[in-house]
Amino acid sequence: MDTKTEGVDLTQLLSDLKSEDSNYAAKCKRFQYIYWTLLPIYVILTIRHFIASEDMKSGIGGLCFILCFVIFAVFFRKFSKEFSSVDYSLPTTKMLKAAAYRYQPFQLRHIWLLIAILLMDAGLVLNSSLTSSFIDIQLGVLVVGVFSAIIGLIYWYEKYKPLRDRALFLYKEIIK
Amino acid sequence: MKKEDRFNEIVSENGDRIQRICRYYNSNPENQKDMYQEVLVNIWKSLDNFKGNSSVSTWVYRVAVNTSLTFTGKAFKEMKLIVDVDAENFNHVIDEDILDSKQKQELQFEELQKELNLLSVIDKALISLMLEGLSMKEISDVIGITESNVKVKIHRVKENLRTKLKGGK
Repeated sequence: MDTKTEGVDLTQLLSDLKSEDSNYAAKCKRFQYIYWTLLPIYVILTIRHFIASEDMKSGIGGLCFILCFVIFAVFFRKFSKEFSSVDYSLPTTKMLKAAAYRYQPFQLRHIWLLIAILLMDAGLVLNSSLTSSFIDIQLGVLVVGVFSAIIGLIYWYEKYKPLRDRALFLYKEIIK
Repeated sequence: MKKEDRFNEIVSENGDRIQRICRYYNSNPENQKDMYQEVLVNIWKSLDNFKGNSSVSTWVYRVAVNTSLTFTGKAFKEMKLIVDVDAENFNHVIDEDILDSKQKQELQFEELQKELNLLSVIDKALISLMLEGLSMKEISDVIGITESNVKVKIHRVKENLRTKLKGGK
């Protein structure tokens, strides 16, 4: 087989692609290791704290944090997998629709992130080791949340909106 | 079969097809090379999803056309369809009665290329697949619209080209 077609060295390309695949697999593994190591540690700490203090509020607060971590971990794992394995072999209309959905800023599945943030908020409120008032915690969460959302939207506008607009434009042009 | 062997087999059997698609969209050899490499990367990335529901060549065309539509190396407004005057299926684009002699064909070629470059990016994709000799059914499988819709679109493009080449507006 000709290993150099159209000026592309196939042997080199294949080796780069394989190394990219294995790097991604290693990254996923590392992410899972961190997730599966930290989660039980936090569960044990929460149980120990609950047994020692017998404080039901703190126990529920700890449980809220654990659930929040689980949602974030599962969501980001799915998210990173989806972005790294875009299927270019779908029929063009399907591929464009999938791309437009992928780059949409607000999606139904983002409700899971909102639930995770609410669980984190509940965890902070119920945690007895925090001395801040309920109002202060809500203000803190609100400020951090709004600030993060603004940063995220600016990033989306600059990086992903043109891609979504182009996918939608091409899709509309095909089906018209 | 290992992924690497499958990839090598697909590239060796379809390399010419991919190269032609890349040439349709780019006049610049550097851009052709970049797009060719991007198609190969996307073939590799999509290979695990290939279940054999369509022929390998249709699958390769899908990856090549989808890559060309989303090609990041060049703004899509600048995309030009480059038609080779010796393209096997060139006569399919316009009626043979217009091209009644080789000399006339050559004279009209420049005008045709100018008109083809003015087509929308989707029409360019349709024409490039037609020039590759794909049937309406195969084009509909690649693009993801019905066969009748493909026929209507291609008919519309041909009508426009015919009118323009005959000196109409």
